[in-house]
Amino acid sequence: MSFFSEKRSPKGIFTAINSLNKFPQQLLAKLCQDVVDALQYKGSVPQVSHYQSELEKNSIDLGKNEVQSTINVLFFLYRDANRVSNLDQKQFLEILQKQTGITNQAGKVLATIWEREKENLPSLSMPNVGKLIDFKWKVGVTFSSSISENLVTPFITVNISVSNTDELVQTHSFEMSVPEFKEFARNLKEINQLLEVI
Amino acid sequence: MELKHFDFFLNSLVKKLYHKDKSITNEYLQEGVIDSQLGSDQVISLVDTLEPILLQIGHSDLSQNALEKLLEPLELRQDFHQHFLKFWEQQRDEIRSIVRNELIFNDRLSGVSWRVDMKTNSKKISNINQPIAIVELLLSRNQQEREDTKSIMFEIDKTQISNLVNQIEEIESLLEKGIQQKN
Repeated sequence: MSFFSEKRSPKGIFTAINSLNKFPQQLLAKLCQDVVDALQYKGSVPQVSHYQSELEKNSIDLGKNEVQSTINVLFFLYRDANRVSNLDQKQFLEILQKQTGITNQAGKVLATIWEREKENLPSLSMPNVGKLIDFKWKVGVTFSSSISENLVTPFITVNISVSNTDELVQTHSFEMSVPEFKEFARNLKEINQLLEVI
Repeated sequence: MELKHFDFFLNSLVKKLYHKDKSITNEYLQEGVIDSQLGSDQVISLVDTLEPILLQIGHSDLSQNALEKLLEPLELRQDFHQHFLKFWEQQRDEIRSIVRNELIFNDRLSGVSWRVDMKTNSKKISNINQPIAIVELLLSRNQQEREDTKSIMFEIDKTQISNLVNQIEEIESLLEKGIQQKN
């Protein structure tokens, strides 16, 4: 799904840009900067409530969802632009104008910040991050072996299938002893808790 | 020979037998006890006595009582005898873990790391800024005394991790039952 290189617009982009168009120039510039900072892990994700109240001060009435969509769309655009090599300011602006219904003024703000920050954005493409497709497991007890006679101990064998960015599925198998499994379990539970909270 | 020499032998032999430290040769041991009165013959004899015991207690995960029985015919000095027992008590868990890992012939999980990101690319704008976890598993295999490690990275969302944790909990309760039955 690439916007700047394949010109495919995600669902909802027009509505989001519509809301973005209503921002006063300075506030929009600040929001863009905040998003770019967050992408560099220099700051936290912009707060909807903050921007909503700033808009109100300018007599602009946007609901929570609308403000959220403007934040989302900026993340999307900057991240996507970062994936395309050598996307200059002019191209950035042109594509935005053609594909999204952004106003000239708003487009220029986004493009200026792109030009300024594009070298600083971290290499966000992680070609080796796949998606988890399948997780299988079995628990067995080894009751004898050539190495040790007495070690009656359970082993947990896991089979995971991961699809990479080219849609190829690779399956990996590994074994864990009980303490290793406990550590694995601890990590997964921690992730689960975090994702529930955010 | 003093207690510190005996301790040196025990520790070095564990390094040799279980941590596969190739630098622990008889010469190394000889040098380590140079301030004792042990001759090279005596060093060799001590190694020949201690090694089989250390191998047996580790590979069979023997208890303190079993070790006592093994030590009886040696008629060690009282303080050496006690020291050996104490040494085994301290080392047992780690050695059990090393032997257990030796039983994993294929890939074993040698590391887990992860971070949580906000998803910033999606078909629908509404999906963006959903949290997503990126997990890296390090799988290692002992290949001819080297360790080969490969890394697998994948992203996983709220629903997937929730399902995964359910499965993990299933495994945990199985292990609980298994351990209870054994006891």
